[in-house]
Amino acid sequence: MDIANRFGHVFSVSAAGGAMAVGFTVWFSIAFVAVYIRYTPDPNNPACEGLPGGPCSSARLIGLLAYVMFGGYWISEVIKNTIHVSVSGGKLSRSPLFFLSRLESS
Amino acid sequence: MVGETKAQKVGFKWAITNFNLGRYFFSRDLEGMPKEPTLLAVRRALWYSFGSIAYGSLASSIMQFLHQASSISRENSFYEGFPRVIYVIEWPGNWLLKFFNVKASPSLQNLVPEPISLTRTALRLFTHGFRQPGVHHERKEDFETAKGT
Repeated sequence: MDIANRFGHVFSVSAAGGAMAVGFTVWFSIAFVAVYIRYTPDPNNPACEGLPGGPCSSARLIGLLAYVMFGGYWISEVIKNTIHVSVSGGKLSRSPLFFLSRLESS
Repeated sequence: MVGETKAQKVGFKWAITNFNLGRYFFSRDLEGMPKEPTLLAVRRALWYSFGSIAYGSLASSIMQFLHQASSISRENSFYEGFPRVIYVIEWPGNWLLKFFNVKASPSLQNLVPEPISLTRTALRLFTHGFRQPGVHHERKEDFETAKGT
């Protein structure tokens, strides 16, 4: 907490990353529900006929839902890891490469 | 310095470099930092290390996905053997997690047996069997029978 108070970028990066993650979650939820509605095999489902993307079937529904879930997991992990490296790679970094670059420039 | 040997030259350079490096590492001020280090960190991470981020996230998401699939398949008897596969895949990670938790927290050390000793005991049981060297495992009945005869 001392580090977070000393370096305000911890909060700013967390807020920006959190907003991005919330936006992605909303998008993911809409995509998930849309796929579920579009491909549910039901005679009363009007989306099963006359739309591009093929007919409705259980196999197609399960495969696409698994695909959407996997993509959602992956992108959320990318966002999480990007936040992590942004927080730890900025003001908190004490990398020898940065030190050497300073030596070379001076 | 006039008349210094080659070893002295190298030694002085080494000492000066390490002094500066140590001063840099242990300094608490932000002197010498660029204006927007966070933005630079984001750019550097996404430009030079995006592969690591993406493929590391892929491995992590595969594990999450399999975990989710196993928890769904537990509710469905058709995929009965699948959770066992997941258990085998997740075993090293869980073992490491338990190991670090036990090692890191002194309060847990008295409560939970060490996983490394548990694993060692299990391996010993598998390799040597349940009969340990130096321990008499004879049943009491056998002993009494032998004594009676």
